[in-house]
Parts: sequence; C-alpha cells; structure tokens
Amino acid sequence: MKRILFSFYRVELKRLLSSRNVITAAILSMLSLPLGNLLYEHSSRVMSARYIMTPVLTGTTVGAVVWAVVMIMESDRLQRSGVHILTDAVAPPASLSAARTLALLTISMIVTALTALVYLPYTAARMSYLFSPGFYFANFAVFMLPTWWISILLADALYQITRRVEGSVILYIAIAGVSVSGIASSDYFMRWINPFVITYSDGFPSIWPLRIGLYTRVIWICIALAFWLISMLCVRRYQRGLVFSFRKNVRKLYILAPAAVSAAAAVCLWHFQPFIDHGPEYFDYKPEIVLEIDDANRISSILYSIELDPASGTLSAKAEYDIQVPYRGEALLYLNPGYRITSMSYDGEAVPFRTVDSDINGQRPTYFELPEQLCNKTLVIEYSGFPTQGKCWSSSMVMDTIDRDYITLSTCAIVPMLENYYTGVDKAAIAEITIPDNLTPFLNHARMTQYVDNGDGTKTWTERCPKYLSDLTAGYYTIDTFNIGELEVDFAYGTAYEETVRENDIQQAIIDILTYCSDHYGELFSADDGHLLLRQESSMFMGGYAVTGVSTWFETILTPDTLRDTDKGASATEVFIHEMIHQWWGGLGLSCTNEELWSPEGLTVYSTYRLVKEKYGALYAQQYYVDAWKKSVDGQNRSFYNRHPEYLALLPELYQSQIASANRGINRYQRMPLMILKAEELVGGEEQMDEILRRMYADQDQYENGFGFEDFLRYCNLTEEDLNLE
Amino acid sequence: MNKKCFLKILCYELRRTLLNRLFPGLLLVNGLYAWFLLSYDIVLGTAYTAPFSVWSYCTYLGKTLPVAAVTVLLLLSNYYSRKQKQIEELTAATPVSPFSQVLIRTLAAGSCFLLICLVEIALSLLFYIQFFRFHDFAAFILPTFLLILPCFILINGLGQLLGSLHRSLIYALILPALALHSIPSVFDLFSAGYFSTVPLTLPVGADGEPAFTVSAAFTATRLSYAALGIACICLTTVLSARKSRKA
Repeated sequence: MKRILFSFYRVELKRLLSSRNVITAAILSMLSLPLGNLLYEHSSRVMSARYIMTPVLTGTTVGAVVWAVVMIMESDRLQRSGVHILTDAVAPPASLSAARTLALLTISMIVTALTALVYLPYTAARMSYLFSPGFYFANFAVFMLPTWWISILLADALYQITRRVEGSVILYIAIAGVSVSGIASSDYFMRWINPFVITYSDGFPSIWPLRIGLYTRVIWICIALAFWLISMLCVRRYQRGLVFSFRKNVRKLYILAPAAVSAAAAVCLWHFQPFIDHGPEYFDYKPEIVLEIDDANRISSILYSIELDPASGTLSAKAEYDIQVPYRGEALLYLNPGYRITSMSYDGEAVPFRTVDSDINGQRPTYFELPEQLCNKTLVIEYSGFPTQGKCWSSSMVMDTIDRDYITLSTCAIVPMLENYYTGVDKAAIAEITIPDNLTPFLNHARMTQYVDNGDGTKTWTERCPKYLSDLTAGYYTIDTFNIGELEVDFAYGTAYEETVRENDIQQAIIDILTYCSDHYGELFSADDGHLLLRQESSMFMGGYAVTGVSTWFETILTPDTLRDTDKGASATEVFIHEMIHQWWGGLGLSCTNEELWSPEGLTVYSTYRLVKEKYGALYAQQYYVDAWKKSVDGQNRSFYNRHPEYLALLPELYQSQIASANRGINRYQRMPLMILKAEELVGGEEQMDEILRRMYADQDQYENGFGFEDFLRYCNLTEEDLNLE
Repeated sequence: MNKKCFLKILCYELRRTLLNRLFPGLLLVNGLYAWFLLSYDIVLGTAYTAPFSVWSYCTYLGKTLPVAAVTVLLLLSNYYSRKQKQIEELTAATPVSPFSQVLIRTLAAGSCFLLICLVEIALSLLFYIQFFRFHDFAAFILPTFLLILPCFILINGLGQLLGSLHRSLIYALILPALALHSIPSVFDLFSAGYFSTVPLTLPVGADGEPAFTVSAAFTATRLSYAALGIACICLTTVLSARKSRKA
C-alpha cells in the first residue's frame, strides 16, 4: 500500500510540477505579496510590520485561495475528462487522490521557500539594519506554509465529499467567509485563512505573535487533516454515490483512527489554549475597593523571587509575605490566568486555597483563608506558568510575554495581587528577578541598577520596590546618560535604533528640546527629583505614557518611516523634536482636545518651528515651515471640494472620508500653526506668545477634560475671526 | 491589389488581432487601470480644478495613454514574431504591396487602440455622470483628438519601424514609453504632465477655475509627433519593399 502511494506520489509530483495550472498558481501566489502594501495604507510605521507582516499575510491569504482552486481543478481533472472510469480500474482512487494532495502540499512547500528567497533581497534592503533573517523566514514557515496546507486539505476534502466543482467552491467560500467576516475580526483562533497579527516590533522583537500563530496553525492543520481523512472515506467506489461509498470505506480503521485522533487533538488544543484568558471581551471596570484602615499594616515586608525562562516563555516565582495581622475571613488574591499556584503555606503549614475560573481583565481570583490568631508569620506563595493575555486587550496589544529578546509583564503577571492586603506604595518589598544577561530590565517603569551575574547566561537583578508591581519590561536597550543643567537624563532606546539615534543626532535634539521647552514653557512635570528617564516602548504595547520621573513613547517615533514624515518636520531630527515636544503639548503634558482644526499637533508644530528658528535661523524656518504651511493652506483653499462642498456630498463615503482626512491633516499640521503664528503677531510677538504658552502649560491641571481652541483664544484674548487666514 | 481584397485582408487582420487571447486581457487591464485612476486620482481633481474640468479629463487621458501605447506595441510585436517572419516569403509573393501591408497593420493596431480609448472615454463619462451628474462633454472632443491621434501615430510608426528592424526593439521601446510619461512640458507625448502643471500657472476665473487653453507650442509639438510617426511608417514601407525585393 505504502509503495503504491509513494509510486503515485512520484508520478503526481512530476506531473504537477510541469502543469500549467500549478505554475500559474505559483506565480500568482508569489506576485500577491506586494498587494497588501499597495492596496492598504499601513497605519503602523514599524518596518517589520510593513515589509514582513503585511506581505506575508497577504501572500498567505491570496495563496491559500489560489492553491485551493488548483486543488479543486486537479481533483476534478480525471472526472472532467471522463477518464476516471479507466483510472479507477487500474489505480485505487483513494490512493491516487491522497498522492495528488501530498504532491500539491510538497509543491506549495517549494513555492513558499522560493517566495521567501525571491523577496529576501528586497526586504533586507528596505529594512536595512533592522532586518532579521530568522524572523523573516519564521513568518513564512509559521503563517504561509501551514495556511496553504490547510487550504489545500480543506479544498480537496470538500471536493471528495461533494464530487462537484461548484459545490466545493461554494462550501470553500462559506468556510473562508467565516474567517474573513466580522465574526472573526479579532479572533486569533477563528481566522484560519487570514491569520490575525496585531503588529510587530523592530527594536523589541517578540515572538508571541509567532507562538500563537503557530499554535492556531497546528489546530487548523489538525482540523483540516481530520476533515480530509474523513473525506478519504467518501471517495466514490464502484461508480456508486456518497452514502454507499462511505459505508464501504468506513471499515478502514487506518483512516478513521488518525482522523479521530486529529479531531480530538484539535478540540483539546482549542479548548486548553494557553494564550488568551476566558474573560470578557471588553474591559470590566470594577468598583474601587475600599480598604480597611489597618490594611496598610497587615504586611511588613515582601520578598519576590522571580525567574523568567524565555525558551519556554514561562515564569516561576515565589512571593514571601511577612504578615503582621492576617485578614479576618476569606481573602482574595488575583494572578494571571496562565499561572498555577503550586503551593501556599503560612508559617510552614499548607494553606488550602481555591482558584475560580472567572477571569476578569487578565486576572483570575484565588480564595484562601489564614488563621487570624497567628500573627507575624510568613505567607509563601509559589506559582508558575505561561502568562495569558487578557481577552479585552488581546486584539490590540501584547501586554504579557516572556521572549528571548523582550519581556513585558504587568501587575498579576508578575506577582499575586492580595486584594485585602494592599494600600500604599511604600517600598516595603524587595524583588529579585532572574533574566537573560543581555537584557536590560525596568521595574515599575524605572531602571533596575543592582545585579549579580549568575555565570549561566542569566543575571539576578535586585531592587527595593513598592508592594504593588505594575510593570516589568526588559529588552535590548542602550542607555545614554547626560545632564541638562541640573537635570540628569537617562535616554533608553532599543539597541536596534543605535544607528538612527547616531545619524539623526537624537541626543543633541533631546538636549535642545528639553532646554528650549523648559526655558519657554516650564519644567517638564514628569521629571522626578532632578532625574528623568526617557524610554522607548515596544510598538506591540499601545502608546506612550508619563509617570513621575519617567516618560515613555511609542517605538515608531524612531523608525525610518516616521522620521521621513515631512508633515512633522523638514528632517528626521526635526520630526523627533516634534514628537518630543508632545511631552509638553499632548496627553503627557497639556492635554489638548482633538477638533477639526485644533489638536496637540498645532501647538507642537508651532513649537517645533520656534525651536528650529532658534537653532537654524529665521530663513531656514521661514522656508521649511512657514512657506511650506502657506503652500499647503493655499492648495487647500484652491482645492475644488473646498470651493464646492456641495460636490463632496455627491461622492461615496469612502472618497468623502479620504478628502476629509487630507483636509484634517492640513488643518492640524499646517493651518493651525499658521493661525498660531498669526496669534503671535496679534499678541505682540514671540515673547508674549511664549508667556501665554507658559501660562497654558502651568494651568494644565485645570483642563482634565482637554484644552480646546476656545481656551487657547481666551488665553490670547482673541476671537476666531482674528485668526482667519483668508 | 483591389479594394475588395484590401478590405478582406484588413478584416482578417482585425479578427486575428481582436479575437486573439491577448487582446481581451489587455483591454481588461486598460479598463481596470482607467477606473483605478478615475477613482483614486482624478476624483480629487487636477491642479485644484474640478474632476470634470477639461484639465482633469486631459490629465486622465494622458495617464491612461502609456498603458494603451504599451498595448499597441505588444500587439505590433505579434506582426514581427518568428512565425510571421517564416511566412514572409509567402506573403512577399502575393500581390499585396508593402505599403498595403503596413497600412493594414496600422489600421488593425489603430482599431485596437481606438477600442481601448473608447472604453476609457466611456468609463470617464460614466464616472462623471454617476458621481457629479455632469453631462457637458462637448469641450472634451477636440482635446481628445489632440491627445490620442499624435500619440498613436508616433507609437505605431516607431513600433513598426523598430519591429521591422528587430522584434526585440519593440519591447525595448516599451521601457521609454513607460518611463517618459508625465513630463511637465509640451514635449510630453502623453501630456498628463503638461495638463497637470499648466493650470497652476494660469490665472483663475470667477468660478475659481483656470480657463482651458492649449498653447501654440503644445499644438505644434503634437503635430510634429504625428508627422514623425507618418515619416516612420513611410520608412517602414521603404524597408519592407526592399526586403520583398530581396526575397
């Protein structure tokens, strides 16, 4: 049997390799990769998302459809030409069909390898020093090849069951339709033909998307394989129909048994998946817990010993709490749903506990009760596992992951949160964290400084910290330390961006910005005790934020595509200046509202212009800023749809939104800076405007709901008509 | 060769060109490209003018012409294929003159080009009616002829001339045809560059639109291109006649 199958396989492989259909499919699959970037304006400026993720995922989906079509056509070939009666007489149809499918699977593997090789030089050239060959090939191996296999198996299975081309095509469209429909829009597991990936990071590469990608592919391969094996039982015999043939074939246990195993494996893998928790899809805002007055004193000190294993992506840890007064009654702790408490003891005695599968916001509750009469004893909790993502944010960011090159963990994915034992943030805890020695860790957003080299490729970092740990991040960071007056600045950025930072003189830009903005608008509020940490954040974690002494920003601020954006500045350094000035004007400083004209961009572009004017001279600033703004605004005024808005209403919504989006960009980046420049003239000059901006920045606490255009006009004592540019 | 015979051969060539597997595909590509241009580019208007202004319409036609020109060159390459060369000795023995042969090929290629242009023009009219309820197309007629005729005559002339020398030269001509589009001057063969930049230099009227005008230099250049194309066709006839005599 095996020999027959192998013999058929060789013949089919040889035939298919020279088939015009297969060659066309291979070419179409290979050509489809650039379509994603051609047809779709990518919002992410991360190079690996643009040059690896989008092309590979496009090729994956288009290729899956193409190979399915080829599979159906090839399956139908003998019947179409009417020779199946002859071939069925000389060759077992099931073996012939299996050989054909295996041959096509082999060819799709060859095409995947060829596709990866064809696009390799282009991708490597575009991504330059951010290119990682391993990551590039892994994407093809994880997404493209398995998805093509799944598609081929499903298509063949559908044909074998229906034995009709149009029937199998309709069913295939239905199955693929579920994957591409809104039902599965942000579901990692349902999307079999168009795998779901949020984005990638260049500087802080995480393999979490590849891990879950591979896992979902394995599930779907199991499903497709089970379905295909069952379809082998439907291969027609003796020129009879589906029911008769199935009844005849069903006795073939060597097909039925693997099909059952494969189906069972798919069900188990899906149900026990370790990536996403079972919580609600939307963030559940729990009411604030009112703590008892003596809760602050229940714990005197804590020792956290945490070991992270990037190879398996798991954490194993021990939390030791010196408890002064135990909580009366059943206490509650929250831990990441992926972790399992291996032991809990109090004063050396095991403590019974029960974990309830009711996840909420990436946390799973565990109930336990301590003997209240035993005071001043130590509670030891040991736990370990693979951190899951909260379902509510799993479709927008990767919050908890332990990778070889990047680690990020939040709250309950680091330590248990003992709900009845916390109040303040006093530094009563010590954290010992063991991670690979090449990663630089930040605990609770601050840089960790003390470590012991274990000599086994790991370092154990120790830090005194609050009881409550909110963030642990570690990655390939380069930290430049420099002083601006009395302010000490740690500038931490991805080591991958060293060349960008050097080429664009980013350090000098930071000094210029902090000096200029502090002089003109006031000290940066986020600076803490003469120290400021500026840290680049992975693009897989949403947005930047500021806490005392720490200011983080999105990874894409340093990506080549961002630094080429001429809307934000005439050169890459100026774009960086623009982004840094958002520390004053934006969510991290004076929070401005987003209106049609008014947004943080207007103030930021104007401030960038002022800084550049001081740095490079009035002529430069006039040419690259004021004249450029005027040109754009003039173009906007002259544009047909602004002169005749009645025609805009005639256009389909897609075009309306395109034009509105272009207008909004000009309004915010060019028109508003020009209006602020006009305001500058009307209020008496640059010094007077600086004074107004200084007052605005100082009053930021009064504008928690956002500082609007009306507020700006009030500070300037002007009306909207005064700033009219017509 | 009498008129009847000429028409018979012309009909045969037309059928051969229009009904081969290549042409419908190329026509589809031209149509899709034209619709893509209208939907993503022309819909915004050219040089701040209305999408249905003559300026925008001419820019649209100018942008579609390179693809149409490449289509014509690909069709012409069929006339100079290896198989065609093999039967040249037979055709040379027929009473069909070299001039008639070149003329038949020109008319066949011209019909294809015209068909493509008609599809593209029809798409633009449909687009203007559907999106802007604009129906006043009279102003489009003259510029259409001014754009497409010189372009076809030159491309066809050059294509036939180069094809008669060597088939691969036709393919070589595709590269400059694609590379030299949208030159912002009167020398732009396809004129998209000319029509998208000139309005920016003109004063706007009361309606905010610059009045449509074509400079004498532009018209002279178009006529020169047409003359050059005719000269190429004549030269091709001479070369074909010499080859026939040799055969």
